Amino acid sequence: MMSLVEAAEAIAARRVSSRELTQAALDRFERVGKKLNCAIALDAEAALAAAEKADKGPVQGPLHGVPLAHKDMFYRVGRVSTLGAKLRRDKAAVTATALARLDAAGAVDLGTLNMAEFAFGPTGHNYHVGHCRNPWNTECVTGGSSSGSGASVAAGLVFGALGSDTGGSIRLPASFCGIVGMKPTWSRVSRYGAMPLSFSLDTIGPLGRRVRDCARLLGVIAGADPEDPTASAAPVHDYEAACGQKITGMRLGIAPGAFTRDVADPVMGAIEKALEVWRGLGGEIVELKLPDLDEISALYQIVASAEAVAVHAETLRRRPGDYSEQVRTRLQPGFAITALQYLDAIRARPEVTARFVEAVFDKCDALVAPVAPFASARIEETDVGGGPEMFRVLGEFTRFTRPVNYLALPGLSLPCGFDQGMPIGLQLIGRPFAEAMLFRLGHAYEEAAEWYKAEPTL
Amino acid sequence: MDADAVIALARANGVEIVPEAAERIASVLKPTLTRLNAVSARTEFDAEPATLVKVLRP
Repeated sequence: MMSLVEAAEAIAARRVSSRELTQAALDRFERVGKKLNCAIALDAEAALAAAEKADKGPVQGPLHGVPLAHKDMFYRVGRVSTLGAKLRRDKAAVTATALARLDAAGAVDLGTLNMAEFAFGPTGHNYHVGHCRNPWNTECVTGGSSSGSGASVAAGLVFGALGSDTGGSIRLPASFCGIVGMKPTWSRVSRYGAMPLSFSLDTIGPLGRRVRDCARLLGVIAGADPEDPTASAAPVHDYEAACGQKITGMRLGIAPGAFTRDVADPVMGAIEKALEVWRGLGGEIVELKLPDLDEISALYQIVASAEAVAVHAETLRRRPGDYSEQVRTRLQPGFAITALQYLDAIRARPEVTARFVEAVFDKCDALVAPVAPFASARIEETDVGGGPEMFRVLGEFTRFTRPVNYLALPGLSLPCGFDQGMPIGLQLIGRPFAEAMLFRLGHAYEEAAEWYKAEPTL
Repeated sequence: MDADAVIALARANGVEIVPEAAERIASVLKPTLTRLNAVSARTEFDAEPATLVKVLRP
């Protein structure tokens, strides 16, 4: 499968037309996408018109003519964003900054992709629009909540997609679908025009088949935005330039205990082999002791619960039945968190983050961890709805991802192997705004390990 | 944190939670809040939560 960067280069060199690639993507969505239930609404007419316009005009930017599609939570003027929910069917009055920047870079937008209801689910189940299915095994989950983004990119339906990550929602689908996903530093990408879930934790980021693809996408969407005062004015690095830089002497941290507890053997085995690859490339492996991840998880839980319920409280009061049982049940704990508890969890964040950064990133350049404790899960077995097993089952999915969200740090999910035909992912976690370093390490590994060469049979 | 507290707090926020769900929520929140209390006890809080942006300096 062509990567996003290869597609952009081929279009720019006129070796292939945007129309050709866009039509092929639409055909593939028709043939394969339906099996995966990964799309919500594609606009073929608009996409082909944009592709033809791209073919007629000069190269507009680094994504000129490249067909993409995105999680259905980024508003576009005049378009309905379902947010994966039953409730919302009104047309947007604004266009998300992230989409506008992709447009300005010349990308073609095919339409919207499946997602967990209100981005509030780590598995990819959706009880309104149907569950998204993993291209490697359609009986297995994609991971969520950017489920359609993960499945579509992995199946070669689009060259890249945007997702969001509040507790793992880019990294989990990237991991379970065998692709690359970048959860940037909180505030790296403007959230204007994107559905909120938890305003202290939400991040927007790219999913792609290759590290360089994600680097290019992030380079386009990152940066300050007058429409979003929380979007950081920190310099946007040349992420693509970081890909291809040598990693000799770079230190990769591992944390036995913290990130190895109850992790499936195939996942640990794949990560250990990945560490050997980095060693072979000149990297050093450093063993670390981390601050208490269970405490960080607890702080995350309080912030996420309180803020999510603040977003949904009014509609939960007026129209509770329009929520799936699972989302309604997961939102309920937020009502039982007091203002003081929430404020303590928020006020602890600077010190907890500073201590973590000092404890870890004074000793290593990036921390290596599993994305999930297991490589895959079956849709049926994890279809827990709002039942008694829900908190436990869903909590297992995000055990290693949600602390990174509380800490506001960047995390890059990379494929690192297979377990009985299902992809395994690891995450590289960095200090604030160290996305370039993560891309550098990730690209070096990707080139050596070549997991991207494996493709699902569909 | 027990089920009665969950029900009372939710009711104060305009939402009814059935006892069975409240039990589950309480069992999830109890260890979470215990850990929060441990962090609160030893953390010197900044007056402004916005200081996170200082911590996130590149």
